[in-house]
Amino acid sequence: MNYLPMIIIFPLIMAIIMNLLHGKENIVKYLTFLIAIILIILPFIGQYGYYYFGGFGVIDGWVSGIAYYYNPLKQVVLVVLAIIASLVLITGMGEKLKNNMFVTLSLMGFASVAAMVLADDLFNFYVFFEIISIVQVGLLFLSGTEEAYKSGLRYMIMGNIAASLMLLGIAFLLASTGTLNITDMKNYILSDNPMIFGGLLLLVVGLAYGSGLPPFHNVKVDLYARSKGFISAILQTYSKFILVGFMLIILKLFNGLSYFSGTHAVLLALGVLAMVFGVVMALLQSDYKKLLSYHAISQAGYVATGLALGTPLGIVAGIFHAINHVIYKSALFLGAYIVSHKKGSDLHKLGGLLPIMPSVAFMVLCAKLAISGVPPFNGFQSKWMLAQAAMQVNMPEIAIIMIIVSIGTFVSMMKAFYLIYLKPVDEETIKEYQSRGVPKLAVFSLFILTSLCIILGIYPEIVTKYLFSYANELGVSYCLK
Amino acid sequence: MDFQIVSFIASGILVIIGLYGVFFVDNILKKIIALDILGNGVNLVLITIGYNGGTIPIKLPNVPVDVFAKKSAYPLTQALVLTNIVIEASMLAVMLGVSIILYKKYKTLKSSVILKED
Amino acid sequence: MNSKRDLVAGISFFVFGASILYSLSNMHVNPGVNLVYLTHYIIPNYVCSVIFGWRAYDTLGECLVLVVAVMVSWIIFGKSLYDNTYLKELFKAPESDDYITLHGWGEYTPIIKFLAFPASVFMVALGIVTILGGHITPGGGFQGGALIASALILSVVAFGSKSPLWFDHKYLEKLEAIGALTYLLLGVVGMFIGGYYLFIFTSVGNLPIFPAPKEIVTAGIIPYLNIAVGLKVLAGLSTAAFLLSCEKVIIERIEKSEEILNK
Repeated sequence: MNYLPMIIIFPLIMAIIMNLLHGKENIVKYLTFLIAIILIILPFIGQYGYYYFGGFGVIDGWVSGIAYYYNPLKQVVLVVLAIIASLVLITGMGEKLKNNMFVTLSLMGFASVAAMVLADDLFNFYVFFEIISIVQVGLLFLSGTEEAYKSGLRYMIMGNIAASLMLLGIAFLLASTGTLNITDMKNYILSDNPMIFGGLLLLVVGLAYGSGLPPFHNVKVDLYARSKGFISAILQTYSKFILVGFMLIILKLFNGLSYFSGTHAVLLALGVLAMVFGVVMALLQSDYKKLLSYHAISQAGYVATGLALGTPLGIVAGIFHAINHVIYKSALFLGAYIVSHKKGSDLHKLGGLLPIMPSVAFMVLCAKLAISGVPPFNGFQSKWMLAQAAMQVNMPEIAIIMIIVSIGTFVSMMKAFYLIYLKPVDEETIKEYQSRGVPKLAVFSLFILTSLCIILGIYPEIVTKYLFSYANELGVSYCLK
Repeated sequence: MDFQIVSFIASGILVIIGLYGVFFVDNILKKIIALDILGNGVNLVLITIGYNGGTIPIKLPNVPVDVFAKKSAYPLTQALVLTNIVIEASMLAVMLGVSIILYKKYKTLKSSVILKED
Repeated sequence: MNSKRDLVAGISFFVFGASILYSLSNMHVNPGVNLVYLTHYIIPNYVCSVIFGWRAYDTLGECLVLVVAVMVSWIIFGKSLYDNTYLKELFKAPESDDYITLHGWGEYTPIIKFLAFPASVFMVALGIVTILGGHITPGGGFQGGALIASALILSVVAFGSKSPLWFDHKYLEKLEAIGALTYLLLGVVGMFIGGYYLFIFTSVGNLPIFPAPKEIVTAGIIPYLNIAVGLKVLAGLSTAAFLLSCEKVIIERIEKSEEILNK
């Protein structure tokens, strides 16, 4: 028997049970540790291939039910998602309040992102897209400040528009092909038809919202910056993998078709704009979490550009960069969380933390070098692959923009590192720092993430060798003249 | 079939009214109502895709399956709309909750005041 | 500055609307997979057979959207926040005159009370019939649940906090969890019997799972899924409406979470 749906069902069942455990802090704590361990096992229990829910397989030439498609690429993505989710769950238990709603919503988010990565059915994808957008604002509201409420409302209004338009796009595709299954739909969209083209463009609106590409980058940045540090780590992981799942669907449906080239350009432009906007806005910020959030947008631009190139190498590079990015950006957000335990996140008020917590500073420095693409960390490997992919299709300008944006990232990251850890401060502040503790569980998670950064930087093959087979299936090699 | 075209155009107009309301009206509650109209427009598109001039898709005991299949409306889109209605209702509930909280703070529903970037 | 921005927004809005109208008026519908759904018989109500049979997994997702939305509404009104100083300030502040709460609602005239109570009782009855007959007649779990929830809301609007039809919110919370868990676990049972998640099994051993006349015995677990969805929708919509209208519970909740935080 194929246990593939348990990847989704087990977290959902645990989430609903967790919801009932309000106030029972000890049970919540130990159950959460147990769930965090089980989550990592989950991606290994499924078998590769198609999975038909309810046994409704192919009837009269149509896939009649809802299908999932599982392969090594999706497995790698799910493993990384599970690792980050369980580390964040463990970190969350270090808070004074053992919050059962945090666990519930994170598990719901894990399940729906996993469902979106696995989905081979457009409407099912849409349903889980809506779940994740409510889950994200729920996680944001947990911090309980006025800004959180404001940016949550803004996010939901934008989200409702984008999701409705995306559903309209799905309706167009459904009307002209007669099916919602992606593998089937591929056979019916070969002809150029204004409705299919409109459906594709409306899907891109949903993509931009789900992953925080422009013009939706503002609401996404607010979402990350207003949450607590460890919650931002999981929120940005969700949006990166939404981006990966969504792009895999769009590429599977349209890559290689003659009328895809226009949309192709739109996707590339979105990616490049996100890269540049993100890093330019990050240079202007004085709030550490907001700076990191803009960098998350900028790195999402890298991922989108790589995937939008549409060549096998581009797809591998994009997904590999997404994986690397969620690892080091989660480490950075956890670092911000540890710092906020000491004294807020305003860069101008911080300083002099290096003697207080040298090991944390070292690990955060590793993550910062990784995000700016310095060898031997993982960011270097994937950025190098991205630049290679851009050169392969004869678009050197994209490779140049990538390198310039990398430099900008390095500058703002080092500025933040100086202002937080190196800037000299007076005696009083140091006493204030010493009176406040460091969350031990967060340091543990940070350590694991940093070592993953170094391991992936030295041995990138342990991830990339699983990505190539499906990328070759989806990708189309071409070269601009 | 003419009825289908009219229905499609009506749903397109609903979508446009919804978008207009969301982008250009300076009131949170009206924005939320506009989002509801937008969602209903999309639902009407879905329903109209399933319209083929047939009857409701419920089989009576004395009708054979093949006869029924020829004269029935398509059930898929109706099911999708039912799913989507619940989704929209839940989104609206969350948004209304947040606007209650923000209304209590600002004593106004103007979105230019409530949602101002800081 | 602002007028230019409005102009750009207006033009792009116009272009977008025109293109949507254009593509909608060129719509050609391909029946596609609908033909499969119409020629294969599961239960007499074909819409219900799509919702709970062919695409049952979507309905699971829909249930979870409602569950999550209710949870998030609780969070908005102060359940398990990491920091509730903002909400505390807000709800401790004195009310202005135009703000209506359930507590200060006043009472409606006897005419409305006279009509609202029987009407809500009939709506509850109709809702139960709609849920239970969802697999044969038009309707189903969602519609019936929504009917019952609207009966509750009607009664609360007419009678205020002295409503004769009243569910405790803790009871509703449990009802919702039971509905969602039933759906999830019936799917798991289907996986162990038929090999696929949400498989429609009609009998366990020799025992038919849904004892019924011959034509409807193929329904299998669909009536039970209907009941689960009905419970969940009834509980979810009532909780949402109740949270949006009832402040007393929210203030209690905030005080309680304060105790937990200070412990």
